[in-house]
Amino acid sequence: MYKKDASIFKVEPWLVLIVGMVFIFGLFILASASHQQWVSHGKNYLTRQAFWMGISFIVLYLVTKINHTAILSWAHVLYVLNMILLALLLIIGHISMGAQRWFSIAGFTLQPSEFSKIVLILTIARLISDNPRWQNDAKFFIRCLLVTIFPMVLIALQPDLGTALIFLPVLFAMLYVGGIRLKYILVSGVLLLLSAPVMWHFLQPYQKNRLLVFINPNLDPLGAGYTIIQSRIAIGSGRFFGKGWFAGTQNQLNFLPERHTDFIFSVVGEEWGFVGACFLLGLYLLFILRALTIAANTKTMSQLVIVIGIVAMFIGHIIINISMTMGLMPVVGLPLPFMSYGGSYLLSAMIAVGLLINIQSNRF
Amino acid sequence: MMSRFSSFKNLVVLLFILLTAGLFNIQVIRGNYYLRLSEHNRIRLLPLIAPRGRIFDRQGNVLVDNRLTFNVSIVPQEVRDLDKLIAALSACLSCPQEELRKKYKRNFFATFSPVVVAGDIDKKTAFILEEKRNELNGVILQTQPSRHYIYGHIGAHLLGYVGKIAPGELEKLSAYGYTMLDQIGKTGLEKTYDQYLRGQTGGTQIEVDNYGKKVKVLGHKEPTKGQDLTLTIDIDLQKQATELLAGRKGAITVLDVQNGDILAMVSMPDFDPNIFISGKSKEINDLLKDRAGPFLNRNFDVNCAYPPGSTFKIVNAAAALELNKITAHTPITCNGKIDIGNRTFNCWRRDGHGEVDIVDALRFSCNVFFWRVGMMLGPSALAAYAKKFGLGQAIGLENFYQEKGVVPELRWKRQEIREPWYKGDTLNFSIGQGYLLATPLQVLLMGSVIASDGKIVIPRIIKTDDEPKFINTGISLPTITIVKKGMEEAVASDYGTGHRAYRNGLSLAAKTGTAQAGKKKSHAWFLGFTPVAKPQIAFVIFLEQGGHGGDDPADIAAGICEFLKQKGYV
Repeated sequence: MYKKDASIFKVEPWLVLIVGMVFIFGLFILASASHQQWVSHGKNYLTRQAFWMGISFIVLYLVTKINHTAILSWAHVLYVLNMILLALLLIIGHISMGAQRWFSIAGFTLQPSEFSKIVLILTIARLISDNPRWQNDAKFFIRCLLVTIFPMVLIALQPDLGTALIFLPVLFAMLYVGGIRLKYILVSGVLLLLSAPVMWHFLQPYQKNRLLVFINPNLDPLGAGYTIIQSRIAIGSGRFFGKGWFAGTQNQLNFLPERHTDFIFSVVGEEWGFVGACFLLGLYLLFILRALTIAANTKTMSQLVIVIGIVAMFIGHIIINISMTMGLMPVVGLPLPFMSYGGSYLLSAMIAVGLLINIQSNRF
Repeated sequence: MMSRFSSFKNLVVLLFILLTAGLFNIQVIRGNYYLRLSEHNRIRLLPLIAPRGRIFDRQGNVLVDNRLTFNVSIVPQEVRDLDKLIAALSACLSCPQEELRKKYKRNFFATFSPVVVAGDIDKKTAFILEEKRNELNGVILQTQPSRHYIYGHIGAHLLGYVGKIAPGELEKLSAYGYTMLDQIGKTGLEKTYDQYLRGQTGGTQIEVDNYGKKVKVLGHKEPTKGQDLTLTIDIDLQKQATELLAGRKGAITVLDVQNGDILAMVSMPDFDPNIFISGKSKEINDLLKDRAGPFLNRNFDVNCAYPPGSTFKIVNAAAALELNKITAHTPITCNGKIDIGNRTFNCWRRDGHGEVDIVDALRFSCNVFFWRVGMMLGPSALAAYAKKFGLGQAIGLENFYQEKGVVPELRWKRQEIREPWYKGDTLNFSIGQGYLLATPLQVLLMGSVIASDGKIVIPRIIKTDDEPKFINTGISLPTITIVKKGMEEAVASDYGTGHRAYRNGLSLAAKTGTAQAGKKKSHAWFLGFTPVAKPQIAFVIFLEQGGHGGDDPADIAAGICEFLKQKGYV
């Protein structure tokens, strides 16, 4: 037990430290990745990212001060609010890159779908805490599915397939570790696989294209296939020690508009080599393991599932993003935690970290 | 539950291990391979541009084709010394270094994408460059299909031309698969049928060695040809009509009234679309600045609406007969003028035409007759019949944006001009002057009603097996017959206004028009169809500020009719 106003650093120094290290490493990477754009378009991604990092630490601090059980009691309200924002977004969103994913407020962009993940985790946790014998309740399971699928669909319509897809693994992880009847998960898993051909029809042409190209990148040598091939070459060519800071042949990825966001790992692989990539993976692994320790220390079911949900969310992002840059997975827009450029995701990630610290401190 | 937790934890660790293994594979085991690929960027992207669909005339003559041109391009990522390269190229192409440098900067897209610095070079230069390949690292020769307008300026307005896609167009069309490298139709059929004509760009992704030579093909996508287009135009008639209109400002359209096929459509002044291919900027700029408007298709483009003048009298006549204001023989005396209020309006024949009936009035194009009849009808009836004959609307040719013209009415004048309707307006309206405005195409369709025994013939430009379409006006056959007679006499009779078009062996009916255009010289109209008995072809000749309808246009009309006879259309 910790004193009520113990500073974060006493409570949970590890998480903060690890995140800090990833931040710093991330700034190095971003400096190189955004260099070309800075030179040619004067877009200063670096200072913006540093700015958001600073803000996110403040947000982190604030979150740790809030009673997390109080947050839980707001879960349903937050859920509805989030759904409204998502629906609004579809209607009047800011059209950027052909997709409606952002709101533009005072020169900054706000991405509601990033916060949807946390809201979902809280909502499911709330449902679980309200229903003591949920593990064997099939109706409860279906309710959880529905609660998850609604925001999923709204997000998939933006279209943002990547973010939408992460919802299910998060839900399943939470329920699985929480102790739900295995049958439910297996059955729904099988149904999901069987419904894949039907889902195929609902995909946008460019999403279909991405899946096809993933299987054979040479199908579309001019478009999506080029990105995957070039990304893998970049990472592979870093070899063991990498080419050095700023020394990645920028040319490779010059045309990749998402270089500073989704494909940032390519820069890690190219400039810092296997050593650098393992370093980053190691930091992430430490982060996850630390979070899992927090999970093991939880006292209540809702605390446990919240932590598991957050872990699943981070894992999902890390594994999928890096696999994508390596060409092991189709291209979906999923940012790399604490590294990819983007204020919304930084904030939501830090809120998640804040919740972890909150729970660990067990103050409430 | 603890076992669940452990299995979850194990899964997580497993995923990390798999990821690390994957990284080890591509970075350590195959690292050297990828390094080689990344070094000097051994992957090159070559777009294969699809040949665009060709355009044919009704006889199957090729009007628009593609020909292979050679472009000189620089691949940025393969250049070792840009200055030296540009100097060497400048010598080979005898093109100033500055211009090459400017083009390089302007056309740069991505480091792997070839930048065109010189287009459409001749074969000899191409061979020289090919021989010097080893000295010119980073230069590649690309062949590209280029649009070729075989008949030059003939039919230019209809065919249009293609050019590089502009940023504004790209924004709107990128969802349809257009990319920065695409050519797109800018005007005419090239534009309206662009998606039909253009094929799909393909491409090859190849791995090259140190010398830029192809080592392996990594991926290939075959381009798909565009689709061909066949028009209703007869290129020989088009050529003939163009020659007849040469050196003047105006328009000619020739229509097959039995099915709506447009056999020829000319607008003058015109331009040669081929200049856009070779990119001669000076010529293009001159054309753009030309106040005579060479890019306007005077047949139906926006702002190309003119007072139809006496050609409108056929509408006036039809209205009067249908509404029983007069009969075929009702006589009206024209003594050269008419007084309305305190104004005097003069017929074009000072001493008048004497006693005339409707057929005479059409033959002589007597103003007094039609003023009197027009006053009987009143502006509402005139407007109603004007619309019945298709004025004030865009008919047919759905893919083109047409000028709708103006049909004046009481309410219209109140709203647009903010004045009440005066009797003088009715007089003007009656003889096709005043606020009434129509495009040459509309005037032609107006005449087609008489030629087709009461239907507006809907024009079409793409050859099709579809049923021809018409709009029924409901005008009775006896009325049509009377108007037709008047038009026949206009040519056949010695004093008919269209008599200059009379030729032995030709059967032609017509209505001439001389429309006052303010202080400038009047517009000249000639609306005709042939043969008279069972009309097959109708045409309109319009000369902007061309004087009298019965003068030059009549000669042109005769020329066209003779040609039509020669070719067997009539």
